[in-house]
Amino acid sequence: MRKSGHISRPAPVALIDRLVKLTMVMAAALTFVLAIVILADVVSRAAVGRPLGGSSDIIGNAIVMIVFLQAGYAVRCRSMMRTDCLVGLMPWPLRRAILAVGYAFGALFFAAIFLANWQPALTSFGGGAGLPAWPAHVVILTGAALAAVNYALLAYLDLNGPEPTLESEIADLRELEP
Amino acid sequence: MIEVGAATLVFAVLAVLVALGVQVAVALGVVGVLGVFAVAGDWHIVSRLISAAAYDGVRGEAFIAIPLFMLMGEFIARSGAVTDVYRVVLRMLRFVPGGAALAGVIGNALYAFVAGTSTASAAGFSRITYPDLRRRGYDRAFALGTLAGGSAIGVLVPPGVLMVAWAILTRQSVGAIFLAALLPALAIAILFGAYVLAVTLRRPELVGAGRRLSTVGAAHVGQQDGRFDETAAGLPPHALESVLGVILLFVAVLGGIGARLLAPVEAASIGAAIGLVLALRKGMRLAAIVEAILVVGRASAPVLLLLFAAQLYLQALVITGAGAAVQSALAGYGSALGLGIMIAVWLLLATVLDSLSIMALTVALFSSAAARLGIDPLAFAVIGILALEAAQLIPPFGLIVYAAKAAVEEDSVAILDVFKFAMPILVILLAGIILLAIFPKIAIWLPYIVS
Repeated sequence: MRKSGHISRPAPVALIDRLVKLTMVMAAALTFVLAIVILADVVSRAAVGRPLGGSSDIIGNAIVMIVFLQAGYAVRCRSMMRTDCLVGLMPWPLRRAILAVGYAFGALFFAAIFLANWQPALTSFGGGAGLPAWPAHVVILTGAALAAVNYALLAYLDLNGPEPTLESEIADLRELEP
Repeated sequence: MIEVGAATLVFAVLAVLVALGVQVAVALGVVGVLGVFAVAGDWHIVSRLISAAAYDGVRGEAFIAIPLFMLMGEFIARSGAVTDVYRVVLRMLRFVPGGAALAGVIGNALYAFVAGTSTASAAGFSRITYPDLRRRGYDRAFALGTLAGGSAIGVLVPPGVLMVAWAILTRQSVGAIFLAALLPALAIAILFGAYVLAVTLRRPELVGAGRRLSTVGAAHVGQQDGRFDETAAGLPPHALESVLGVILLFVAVLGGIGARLLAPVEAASIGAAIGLVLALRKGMRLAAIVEAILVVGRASAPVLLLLFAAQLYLQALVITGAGAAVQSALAGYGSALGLGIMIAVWLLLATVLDSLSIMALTVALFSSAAARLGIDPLAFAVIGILALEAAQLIPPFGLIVYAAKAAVEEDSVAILDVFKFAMPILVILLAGIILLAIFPKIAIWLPYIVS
């Protein structure tokens, strides 16, 4: 099953794939850790009568990190929701071109997120009272950059790939199982 | 403020992008950014909105409740607890006419609940329930239609990811929506159960009239056959534990939220913990647990990113005035026609898009329009979730029915016959929508009592 879906990838693509897999695994692990932190908070409140201090700030930052750590992977394995109702009917060269334009939009969107968050990320290093905000900001930048790069990659693969797109997506998905 | 012309442009661009297969999250984000830029004309303002959406927009606890509820569902789905509950119910109802169908409905509903989608249950769990029904001589189309109905009910039961997403998109309380959905979901389940019993009494030939198929008939029902037949081997190990675990789960999560002891996100973490304990008790290994966590990471990513992009779109709707334009247009039709139009849009979109995407595109708009039409927002949330579920049962595109039929590889049964037997649950759902529109108290009552 794995072999039939195997597509040989150039080194930079393989590197990006490893990176998005890594960030996705980090996000999944963080989700699990967060479940434990929230549970510990509830248990502490029930047992000792008071919650663990500062957990709501930690949770807020962790959610931001989870969302953006997942972004690159979700883009790369094309798991974002969309409809194939029209593109599915098109002949594949046209379908491929239209999907590539869609991916280019995705790249621009995440590039905009990256640019918009650049300044807030820099200022967050200044610090201040309470939990440092910079880790979440750095993750937003990293996640947005990875998502943008992956959208650009998808657009490129779509225009230059050896196979019609929709069929190869399933193969792509199998390739990326961590 | 730009006027209706620009509003039309916002929706036209969005519709073209979505129709051309651009990912819904990207389409929402692009329209959001461009919409704000068109009005503000200044990148700095757009930039500030984007960074606020990225950092502050997703900090809400409701966001993290989504992967946590998915984690709860994934652990339970992988533990096999749903099959246990189904076997126990099947055994308990073995002397009740139509009991196997009722057990199948409960099994499929519970699996849809943990999997978070009706199609996953109709496709997955029907492979366990359908052979049992066939072995008892149930009519093929009746069995499939009934199991599809059961799968549809599961997603209506709180807590669910769709409800959390609705709360995020309309800035409502997650807990209140859970509580609002509880009574309607129970009423629908009871009505559907009553329908199954009525069929049993009035058309016994559909439920095998108590006779069992010979081994010839049972031969093609697959390897599940007879393994845990309620008359033979008894129940699988830990079956009662699974039942207690699932009951505890509902009591802890819904009771905790209802008694205002737990925030939804806390209830979700407790649910995930109960799911994990159940899975461990059922002998789930570390590797399988890690796999479940990774699956949730993969499955929750597109949902969270969709909701993040929707935040930008919502801001654009406010800033461009596109949202207000749609709301006043809908409000002009009066409550009955206005609601009818919104439901029609959902049913239409459901033929090409998944429920979450439809929600991200429409719910914020429709919810404020409904409020202007005098429809209670909580009742409207339940109406919306019922409508999105009903959409997946309508012939000729109803996905749940196709999933059920495809899963059991029954070529001898016509899809329209299955649709015919899925019609009762569709009628019940549509009746529920109308009743909720006329008597919103059915939904509001419980959250009101609690608060």
